[in-house]
Amino acid sequence: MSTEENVSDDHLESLMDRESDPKVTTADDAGEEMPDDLTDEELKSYVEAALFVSSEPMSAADLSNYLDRDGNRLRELMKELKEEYDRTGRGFQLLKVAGGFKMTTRSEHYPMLKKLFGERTLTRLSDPAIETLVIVAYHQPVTRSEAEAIRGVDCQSVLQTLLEKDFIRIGGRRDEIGRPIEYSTTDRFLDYFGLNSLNELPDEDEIQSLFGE
Amino acid sequence: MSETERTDDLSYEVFHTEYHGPLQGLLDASRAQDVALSRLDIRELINDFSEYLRSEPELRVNVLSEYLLVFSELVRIKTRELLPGDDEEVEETPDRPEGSEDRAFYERVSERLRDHAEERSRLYGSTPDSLPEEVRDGETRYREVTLYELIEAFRDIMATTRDKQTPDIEITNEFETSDQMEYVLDRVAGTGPVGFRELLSSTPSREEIIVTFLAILQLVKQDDLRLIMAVSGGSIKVVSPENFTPEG
Repeated sequence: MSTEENVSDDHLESLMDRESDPKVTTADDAGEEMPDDLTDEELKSYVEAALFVSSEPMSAADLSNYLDRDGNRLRELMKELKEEYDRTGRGFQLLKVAGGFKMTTRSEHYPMLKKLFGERTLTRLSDPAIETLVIVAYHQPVTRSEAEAIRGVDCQSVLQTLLEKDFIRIGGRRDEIGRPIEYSTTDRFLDYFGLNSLNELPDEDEIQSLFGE
Repeated sequence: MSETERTDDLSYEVFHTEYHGPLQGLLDASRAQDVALSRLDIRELINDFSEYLRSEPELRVNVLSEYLLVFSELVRIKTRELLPGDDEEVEETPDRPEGSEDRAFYERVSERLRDHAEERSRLYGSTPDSLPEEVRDGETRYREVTLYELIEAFRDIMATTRDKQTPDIEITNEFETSDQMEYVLDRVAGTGPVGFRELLSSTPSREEIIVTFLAILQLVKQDDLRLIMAVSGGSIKVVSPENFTPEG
Protein backbone atom coordinates (compact mmCIF):
# COMPACT_ATOMS: atom_id res chain seq x y z
CA MET A 1 0.00 0.00 0.00
CA SER A 2 1.07 3.51 -0.67
CA THR A 3 2.06 5.63 2.27
CA GLU A 4 1.84 9.39 2.47
CA GLU A 5 5.57 9.71 1.91
CA ASN A 6 5.68 7.97 -1.45
CA VAL A 7 2.64 9.70 -2.96
CA SER A 8 4.16 11.88 -5.65
CA ASP A 9 3.04 15.48 -6.10
CA ASP A 10 1.78 14.71 -9.62
CA HIS A 11 -0.39 11.91 -8.38
CA LEU A 12 -1.58 14.06 -5.52
CA GLU A 13 -2.60 16.75 -7.97
CA SER A 14 -4.56 14.26 -10.03
CA LEU A 15 -6.36 13.10 -6.88
CA MET A 16 -7.18 16.69 -5.98
CA ASP A 17 -8.44 17.39 -9.51
CA ARG A 18 -11.03 14.63 -9.33
CA GLU A 19 -13.18 16.64 -6.97
CA SER A 20 -13.24 19.62 -9.31
CA ASP A 21 -13.98 17.64 -12.44
CA PRO A 22 -17.72 17.08 -12.39
CA LYS A 23 -17.73 16.04 -16.09
CA VAL A 24 -20.83 18.10 -16.72
CA THR A 25 -22.27 17.62 -20.17
CA THR A 26 -23.97 20.65 -21.58
CA ALA A 27 -27.09 20.64 -23.68
CA ASP A 28 -24.93 21.64 -26.66
CA ASP A 29 -22.70 18.58 -26.12
CA ALA A 30 -25.71 16.36 -26.35
CA GLY A 31 -26.47 17.86 -29.73
CA GLU A 32 -29.95 18.88 -28.65
CA GLU A 33 -30.24 22.49 -27.72
CA MET A 34 -32.98 23.68 -25.44
CA PRO A 35 -35.22 26.39 -26.86
CA ASP A 36 -34.09 29.88 -25.85
CA ASP A 37 -37.53 31.23 -25.13
CA LEU A 38 -38.72 28.85 -22.44
CA THR A 39 -41.25 30.22 -20.01
CA ASP A 40 -40.55 29.83 -16.31
CA GLU A 41 -43.01 26.95 -16.11
CA GLU A 42 -41.35 25.18 -19.02
CA LEU A 43 -37.89 25.70 -17.62
CA LYS A 44 -39.13 24.49 -14.27
CA SER A 45 -40.08 21.17 -15.83
CA TYR A 46 -36.51 20.81 -17.17
CA VAL A 47 -35.18 21.53 -13.69
CA GLU A 48 -37.57 18.99 -12.21
CA ALA A 49 -36.46 16.34 -14.70
CA ALA A 50 -32.79 16.94 -13.92
CA LEU A 51 -33.40 16.74 -10.18
CA PHE A 52 -35.45 13.58 -10.62
CA VAL A 53 -32.67 11.75 -12.43
CA SER A 54 -29.69 13.06 -10.47
CA SER A 55 -28.46 10.83 -7.68
CA GLU A 56 -26.33 13.69 -6.35
CA PRO A 57 -27.51 16.98 -4.90
CA MET A 58 -27.66 19.64 -7.62
CA SER A 59 -27.10 23.32 -6.99
CA ALA A 60 -28.29 26.19 -9.16
CA ALA A 61 -24.71 26.51 -10.40
CA ASP A 62 -24.63 22.82 -11.44
CA LEU A 63 -27.89 23.23 -13.31
CA SER A 64 -26.73 26.48 -14.83
CA ASN A 65 -23.80 24.60 -16.40
CA TYR A 66 -26.07 21.88 -17.67
CA LEU A 67 -29.00 23.94 -18.90
CA ASP A 68 -26.99 27.00 -19.91
CA ARG A 69 -29.44 29.25 -18.11
CA ASP A 70 -28.98 32.00 -15.57
CA GLY A 71 -28.16 30.68 -12.10
CA ASN A 72 -30.38 33.14 -10.23
CA ARG A 73 -33.40 32.23 -12.31
CA LEU A 74 -32.77 28.51 -11.76
CA ARG A 75 -32.33 29.06 -8.03
CA GLU A 76 -35.70 30.77 -7.86
CA LEU A 77 -37.34 27.97 -9.85
CA MET A 78 -35.84 25.33 -7.55
CA LYS A 79 -37.21 27.18 -4.55
CA GLU A 80 -40.62 27.38 -6.20
CA LEU A 81 -40.54 23.65 -6.90
CA LYS A 82 -39.65 22.91 -3.29
CA GLU A 83 -42.51 25.09 -2.06
CA GLU A 84 -44.94 23.48 -4.48
CA TYR A 85 -44.04 19.98 -3.34
CA ASP A 86 -44.42 20.96 0.31
CA ARG A 87 -47.64 22.88 -0.23
CA THR A 88 -49.35 20.18 -2.24
CA GLY A 89 -48.09 17.34 -0.03
CA ARG A 90 -46.45 15.35 -2.79
CA GLY A 91 -44.88 11.98 -2.06
CA PHE A 92 -41.45 13.41 -2.66
CA GLN A 93 -39.63 16.54 -1.58
CA LEU A 94 -36.62 18.64 -2.43
CA LEU A 95 -34.12 18.17 0.35
CA LYS A 96 -31.55 20.93 0.75
CA VAL A 97 -28.35 19.03 1.26
CA ALA A 98 -24.63 19.44 0.48
CA GLY A 99 -25.21 22.90 -0.97
CA GLY A 100 -27.80 21.74 -3.49
CA PHE A 101 -31.20 20.15 -3.81
CA LYS A 102 -31.89 16.43 -3.94
CA MET A 103 -35.22 14.80 -4.69
CA THR A 104 -36.10 12.33 -1.97
CA THR A 105 -39.13 10.66 -0.46
CA ARG A 106 -40.59 11.94 2.80
CA SER A 107 -39.70 10.42 6.15
CA GLU A 108 -43.36 9.63 6.94
CA HIS A 109 -43.44 7.25 3.97
CA TYR A 110 -40.42 5.32 5.18
CA PRO A 111 -42.29 2.40 6.85
CA MET A 112 -44.30 1.74 3.69
CA LEU A 113 -41.27 2.07 1.38
CA LYS A 114 -39.19 -0.14 3.64
CA LYS A 115 -41.90 -2.80 3.43
CA LEU A 116 -42.07 -2.48 -0.35
CA PHE A 117 -38.42 -2.11 -1.27
CA GLY A 118 -36.44 -3.09 1.83
CA GLU A 119 -34.07 -0.95 3.83
CA ARG A 120 -31.81 1.50 2.08
CA THR A 121 -28.37 -0.01 1.84
CA LEU A 122 -26.13 2.59 3.38
CA THR A 123 -22.41 2.56 3.83
CA ARG A 124 -21.91 1.73 7.47
CA LEU A 125 -19.30 3.71 9.29
CA SER A 126 -17.58 2.42 12.41
CA ASP A 127 -17.36 4.54 15.55
CA PRO A 128 -13.65 5.34 14.95
CA ALA A 129 -14.48 6.29 11.36
CA ILE A 130 -17.23 8.72 12.38
CA GLU A 131 -15.11 10.21 15.12
CA THR A 132 -12.18 10.72 12.73
CA LEU A 133 -14.56 12.18 10.16
CA VAL A 134 -15.90 14.65 12.71
CA ILE A 135 -12.37 15.72 13.61
CA VAL A 136 -11.57 16.26 9.92
CA ALA A 137 -14.79 18.25 9.51
CA TYR A 138 -14.04 20.66 12.34
CA HIS A 139 -10.31 21.02 11.69
CA GLN A 140 -10.06 20.81 7.91
CA PRO A 141 -7.71 20.95 6.22
CA VAL A 142 -6.15 18.59 8.74
CA THR A 143 -3.12 16.33 8.61
CA ARG A 144 -3.03 12.77 9.81
CA SER A 145 -0.79 13.62 12.76
CA GLU A 146 -3.18 16.39 13.88
CA ALA A 147 -6.11 13.98 13.81
CA GLU A 148 -4.06 11.41 15.69
CA ALA A 149 -3.06 13.99 18.31
CA ILE A 150 -6.76 14.56 19.10
CA ARG A 151 -7.89 10.94 18.95
CA GLY A 152 -4.79 9.62 20.66
CA VAL A 153 -4.56 6.63 18.35
CA ASP A 154 -3.25 5.81 14.88
CA CYS A 155 -5.63 7.04 12.17
CA GLN A 156 -3.92 5.88 8.99
CA SER A 157 -6.21 2.98 8.13
CA VAL A 158 -9.34 4.90 9.12
CA LEU A 159 -8.34 7.83 6.90
CA GLN A 160 -7.63 5.42 4.06
CA THR A 161 -11.08 3.87 4.44
CA LEU A 162 -12.75 7.29 4.54
CA LEU A 163 -10.86 8.26 1.39
CA GLU A 164 -11.96 5.10 -0.41
CA LYS A 165 -15.55 5.67 0.64
CA ASP A 166 -15.34 9.24 -0.59
CA PHE A 167 -16.16 10.85 2.76
CA ILE A 168 -12.89 12.77 2.74
CA ARG A 169 -10.57 13.96 0.01
CA ILE A 170 -6.98 15.04 -0.26
CA GLY A 171 -6.91 18.81 -0.25
CA GLY A 172 -3.18 19.34 -0.73
CA ARG A 173 0.06 19.25 1.20
CA ARG A 174 0.89 21.32 4.26
CA ASP A 175 3.79 23.67 3.65
CA GLU A 176 5.95 22.39 6.48
CA ILE A 177 8.64 19.78 7.12
CA GLY A 178 7.70 16.47 5.51
CA ARG A 179 4.91 18.20 3.52
CA PRO A 180 2.17 16.05 5.07
CA ILE A 181 -1.10 15.49 3.21
CA GLU A 182 -4.08 17.58 4.25
CA TYR A 183 -7.57 16.08 4.34
CA SER A 184 -10.96 17.74 3.92
CA THR A 185 -14.52 16.43 3.92
CA THR A 186 -16.51 15.92 0.69
CA ASP A 187 -20.10 16.59 -0.35
CA ARG A 188 -20.80 12.93 0.31
CA PHE A 189 -20.04 13.56 3.97
CA LEU A 190 -22.70 16.30 4.03
CA ASP A 191 -25.22 14.20 2.11
CA TYR A 192 -24.71 11.15 4.32
CA PHE A 193 -25.48 13.13 7.47
CA GLY A 194 -28.19 15.25 5.83
CA LEU A 195 -26.28 18.50 6.26
CA ASN A 196 -26.52 21.39 3.84
CA SER A 197 -23.18 22.89 4.81
CA LEU A 198 -20.44 22.55 7.39
CA ASN A 199 -22.03 25.44 9.27
CA GLU A 200 -24.77 23.03 10.32
CA LEU A 201 -22.36 20.95 12.37
CA PRO A 202 -23.37 21.16 16.02
CA ASP A 203 -21.57 23.74 18.13
CA GLU A 204 -20.61 23.39 21.75
CA ASP A 205 -23.87 24.91 23.07
CA GLU A 206 -25.96 22.43 21.10
CA ILE A 207 -23.89 19.52 22.32
CA GLN A 208 -24.10 20.75 25.91
CA SER A 209 -27.86 21.15 25.75
CA LEU A 210 -28.23 17.69 24.23
CA PHE A 211 -26.00 15.96 26.71
CA GLY A 212 -27.13 17.96 29.72
CA GLU A 213 -23.96 19.69 30.83
CA MET B 1 -32.19 39.03 -29.93
CA SER B 2 -30.46 42.32 -29.79
CA GLU B 3 -29.79 44.59 -32.70
CA THR B 4 -27.61 47.57 -33.14
CA GLU B 5 -28.45 50.91 -34.66
CA ARG B 6 -26.12 53.58 -35.83
CA THR B 7 -27.14 57.16 -35.23
CA ASP B 8 -25.66 60.43 -36.41
CA ASP B 9 -23.80 61.24 -33.19
CA LEU B 10 -22.23 57.79 -33.11
CA SER B 11 -24.11 56.84 -29.98
CA TYR B 12 -24.69 53.13 -29.94
CA GLU B 13 -28.16 51.79 -29.30
CA VAL B 14 -29.14 48.42 -28.01
CA PHE B 15 -32.32 46.64 -29.02
CA HIS B 16 -33.01 43.77 -26.69
CA THR B 17 -36.15 42.22 -25.29
CA GLU B 18 -35.07 43.45 -21.85
CA TYR B 19 -33.82 46.87 -22.88
CA HIS B 20 -33.96 49.35 -25.75
CA GLY B 21 -31.83 52.48 -25.74
CA PRO B 22 -28.28 53.78 -25.56
CA LEU B 23 -25.63 51.52 -24.06
CA GLN B 24 -24.77 54.08 -21.42
CA GLY B 25 -28.44 54.10 -20.44
CA LEU B 26 -28.31 50.32 -20.01
CA LEU B 27 -25.45 50.73 -17.58
CA ASP B 28 -27.35 53.33 -15.57
CA ALA B 29 -30.47 51.17 -15.54
CA SER B 30 -28.45 48.16 -14.44
CA ARG B 31 -26.91 50.07 -11.57
CA ALA B 32 -30.38 51.19 -10.53
CA GLN B 33 -31.58 47.56 -10.92
CA ASP B 34 -34.24 48.71 -13.40
CA VAL B 35 -33.11 46.05 -15.86
CA ALA B 36 -32.89 42.33 -15.15
CA LEU B 37 -29.24 41.88 -16.05
CA SER B 38 -29.62 38.17 -15.36
CA ARG B 39 -31.74 37.93 -18.50
CA LEU B 40 -29.28 39.88 -20.64
CA ASP B 41 -26.69 37.97 -22.61
CA ILE B 42 -23.70 40.29 -22.43
CA ARG B 43 -21.76 38.13 -24.86
CA GLU B 44 -24.49 38.75 -27.41
CA LEU B 45 -24.32 42.50 -26.81
CA ILE B 46 -20.55 42.46 -27.28
CA ASN B 47 -20.85 40.48 -30.52
CA ASP B 48 -23.36 42.99 -31.83
CA PHE B 49 -21.09 45.83 -30.83
CA SER B 50 -18.13 44.19 -32.60
CA GLU B 51 -20.19 44.02 -35.79
CA TYR B 52 -21.08 47.65 -35.37
CA LEU B 53 -17.38 48.53 -35.05
CA ARG B 54 -16.51 46.57 -38.17
CA SER B 55 -19.11 48.51 -40.10
CA GLU B 56 -17.41 51.77 -39.17
CA PRO B 57 -15.06 53.27 -41.80
CA GLU B 58 -12.38 53.91 -39.18
CA LEU B 59 -11.69 52.83 -35.63
CA ARG B 60 -12.11 55.57 -33.06
CA VAL B 61 -10.02 54.50 -30.11
CA ASN B 62 -11.55 56.98 -27.68
CA VAL B 63 -15.07 55.77 -28.50
CA LEU B 64 -14.04 52.13 -28.31
CA SER B 65 -12.33 52.58 -24.93
CA GLU B 66 -15.43 54.24 -23.55
CA TYR B 67 -17.59 51.32 -24.63
CA LEU B 68 -15.09 48.83 -23.25
CA LEU B 69 -15.44 50.50 -19.86
CA VAL B 70 -19.22 50.25 -20.10
CA PHE B 71 -19.12 46.56 -21.00
CA SER B 72 -16.62 45.71 -18.28
CA GLU B 73 -18.82 47.48 -15.74
CA LEU B 74 -21.85 45.50 -16.97
CA VAL B 75 -19.88 42.27 -16.60
CA ARG B 76 -18.85 43.28 -13.09
CA ILE B 77 -22.43 44.04 -12.04
CA LYS B 78 -23.72 40.79 -13.55
CA THR B 79 -20.95 38.76 -11.90
CA ARG B 80 -21.90 40.19 -8.52
CA GLU B 81 -25.52 39.25 -9.15
CA LEU B 82 -24.51 35.70 -9.92
CA LEU B 83 -22.66 35.26 -6.66
CA PRO B 84 -24.58 33.10 -4.18
CA GLY B 85 -27.10 35.01 -2.14
CA ASP B 86 -27.70 34.63 1.59
CA ASP B 87 -29.89 31.60 0.97
CA GLU B 88 -27.09 29.69 -0.74
CA GLU B 89 -24.49 29.21 1.91
CA VAL B 90 -20.87 29.25 0.89
CA GLU B 91 -18.92 26.28 2.15
CA GLU B 92 -16.85 27.39 5.08
CA THR B 93 -14.94 25.54 7.69
CA PRO B 94 -16.95 25.82 10.90
CA ASP B 95 -15.49 27.70 13.81
CA ARG B 96 -13.84 25.29 16.13
CA PRO B 97 -15.89 25.19 19.29
CA GLU B 98 -14.51 25.67 22.77
CA GLY B 99 -12.81 22.53 23.95
CA SER B 100 -12.29 21.34 20.40
CA GLU B 101 -9.10 19.62 21.47
CA ASP B 102 -11.15 17.53 23.84
CA ARG B 103 -11.86 14.09 22.45
CA ALA B 104 -15.08 13.83 24.47
CA PHE B 105 -16.55 16.64 22.40
CA TYR B 106 -16.02 14.70 19.18
CA GLU B 107 -17.48 11.55 20.67
CA ARG B 108 -20.65 13.48 21.44
CA VAL B 109 -20.78 15.12 18.03
CA SER B 110 -20.32 11.65 16.51
CA GLU B 111 -23.29 10.42 18.50
CA ARG B 112 -25.36 13.38 17.32
CA LEU B 113 -24.35 12.82 13.70
CA ARG B 114 -25.33 9.17 13.94
CA ASP B 115 -28.86 10.40 14.65
CA HIS B 116 -28.63 12.67 11.59
CA ALA B 117 -27.52 9.73 9.45
CA GLU B 118 -30.35 7.62 10.83
CA GLU B 119 -32.90 10.31 9.88
CA ARG B 120 -31.30 10.74 6.48
CA SER B 121 -31.41 6.99 5.86
CA ARG B 122 -35.22 7.14 6.03
CA LEU B 123 -35.33 9.17 2.83
CA TYR B 124 -35.10 7.26 -0.41
CA GLY B 125 -33.58 9.03 -3.39
CA SER B 126 -33.64 8.51 -7.10
CA THR B 127 -31.01 6.34 -8.71
CA PRO B 128 -30.49 6.64 -12.44
CA ASP B 129 -30.90 3.29 -14.14
CA SER B 130 -28.07 4.27 -16.47
CA LEU B 131 -25.55 3.45 -13.77
CA PRO B 132 -23.10 0.76 -14.82
CA GLU B 133 -23.52 -2.70 -13.39
CA GLU B 134 -22.72 -2.78 -9.71
CA VAL B 135 -21.18 -5.44 -7.60
CA ARG B 136 -20.99 -5.62 -3.85
CA ASP B 137 -18.16 -6.28 -1.49
CA GLY B 138 -19.31 -6.03 2.08
CA GLU B 139 -20.13 -2.40 2.65
CA THR B 140 -18.50 -0.85 -0.41
CA ARG B 141 -20.56 -0.83 -3.60
CA TYR B 142 -18.59 -1.32 -6.79
CA ARG B 143 -19.26 -0.82 -10.45
CA GLU B 144 -17.53 -1.91 -13.64
CA VAL B 145 -14.76 0.37 -14.89
CA THR B 146 -15.07 1.86 -18.36
CA LEU B 147 -12.23 1.63 -20.85
CA TYR B 148 -11.90 5.40 -20.69
CA GLU B 149 -11.37 5.29 -16.91
CA LEU B 150 -8.81 2.53 -17.28
CA ILE B 151 -6.82 4.50 -19.82
CA GLU B 152 -7.05 7.57 -17.61
CA ALA B 153 -5.66 5.58 -14.67
CA PHE B 154 -2.86 4.27 -16.85
CA ARG B 155 -1.96 7.77 -17.99
CA ASP B 156 -2.12 8.94 -14.41
CA ILE B 157 0.38 6.33 -13.25
CA MET B 158 2.64 7.01 -16.21
CA ALA B 159 2.54 10.73 -15.48
CA THR B 160 3.65 10.23 -11.91
CA THR B 161 6.70 8.26 -12.95
CA ARG B 162 7.71 10.31 -15.97
CA ASP B 163 9.99 12.70 -14.15
CA LYS B 164 11.81 9.98 -12.31
CA GLN B 165 12.80 8.07 -15.42
CA THR B 166 15.44 8.64 -18.00
CA PRO B 167 13.98 9.92 -21.30
CA ASP B 168 14.71 6.67 -23.12
CA ILE B 169 12.89 3.59 -22.02
CA GLU B 170 15.35 0.82 -21.60
CA ILE B 171 13.78 -2.51 -22.45
CA THR B 172 15.40 -4.96 -20.11
CA ASN B 173 13.01 -7.86 -20.60
CA GLU B 174 12.85 -7.94 -16.84
CA PHE B 175 9.08 -8.04 -17.19
CA GLU B 176 7.35 -10.47 -19.50
CA THR B 177 3.61 -10.12 -20.06
CA SER B 178 3.01 -13.80 -19.35
CA ASP B 179 4.93 -13.61 -16.05
CA GLN B 180 3.05 -10.49 -15.07
CA MET B 181 -0.29 -12.16 -15.89
CA GLU B 182 0.64 -14.99 -13.57
CA TYR B 183 1.68 -12.53 -10.88
CA VAL B 184 -1.59 -10.58 -11.12
CA LEU B 185 -3.65 -13.77 -10.89
CA ASP B 186 -1.68 -14.82 -7.80
CA ARG B 187 -2.31 -11.45 -6.19
CA VAL B 188 -6.08 -11.53 -6.65
CA ALA B 189 -6.55 -15.24 -5.90
CA GLY B 190 -8.66 -15.83 -2.80
CA THR B 191 -8.81 -12.19 -1.80
CA GLY B 192 -10.96 -9.12 -2.32
CA PRO B 193 -10.30 -6.24 -4.67
CA VAL B 194 -6.67 -5.23 -5.09
CA GLY B 195 -5.73 -1.69 -6.09
CA PHE B 196 -4.29 -1.19 -9.56
CA ARG B 197 -1.29 0.56 -8.02
CA GLU B 198 -0.76 -2.20 -5.49
CA LEU B 199 0.19 -4.51 -8.33
CA LEU B 200 3.24 -2.37 -8.98
CA SER B 201 6.39 -2.03 -6.97
CA SER B 202 6.79 1.14 -4.90
CA THR B 203 8.93 2.82 -7.57
CA PRO B 204 7.82 1.15 -10.79
CA SER B 205 9.71 1.61 -14.03
CA ARG B 206 7.73 2.60 -17.13
CA GLU B 207 8.42 -0.85 -18.52
CA GLU B 208 6.85 -2.45 -15.45
CA ILE B 209 3.76 -0.24 -15.73
CA ILE B 210 3.27 -0.94 -19.44
CA VAL B 211 3.75 -4.69 -19.09
CA THR B 212 1.40 -4.85 -16.08
CA PHE B 213 -1.20 -2.86 -17.97
CA LEU B 214 -0.96 -5.22 -20.96
CA ALA B 215 -1.19 -8.22 -18.63
CA ILE B 216 -4.37 -6.81 -17.06
CA LEU B 217 -5.92 -6.15 -20.47
CA GLN B 218 -5.16 -9.69 -21.56
CA LEU B 219 -6.64 -11.17 -18.36
CA VAL B 220 -9.79 -9.07 -18.72
CA LYS B 221 -10.09 -10.21 -22.33
CA GLN B 222 -9.77 -13.83 -21.18
CA ASP B 223 -12.43 -13.16 -18.53
CA ASP B 224 -9.96 -14.06 -15.79
CA LEU B 225 -10.08 -10.63 -14.19
CA ARG B 226 -12.56 -7.86 -13.59
CA LEU B 227 -11.90 -4.17 -13.19
CA ILE B 228 -14.06 -2.37 -10.67
CA MET B 229 -14.29 0.92 -8.85
CA ALA B 230 -16.30 2.01 -5.81
CA VAL B 231 -19.55 3.69 -6.88
CA SER B 232 -18.51 6.63 -4.72
CA GLY B 233 -15.27 6.96 -6.70
CA GLY B 234 -11.68 6.26 -5.78
CA SER B 235 -9.04 4.08 -7.37
CA ILE B 236 -9.47 1.26 -9.87
CA LYS B 237 -9.21 -2.22 -8.42
CA VAL B 238 -8.82 -5.64 -9.95
CA VAL B 239 -10.66 -8.66 -8.68
CA SER B 240 -11.01 -12.30 -9.53
CA PRO B 241 -14.41 -13.06 -11.14
CA GLU B 242 -14.99 -15.87 -8.61
CA ASN B 243 -14.82 -13.45 -5.72
CA PHE B 244 -17.43 -11.08 -7.08
CA THR B 245 -20.85 -11.67 -8.47
CA PRO B 246 -22.67 -8.86 -10.22
CA GLU B 247 -25.81 -7.75 -8.48
CA GLY B 248 -29.16 -8.65 -9.96
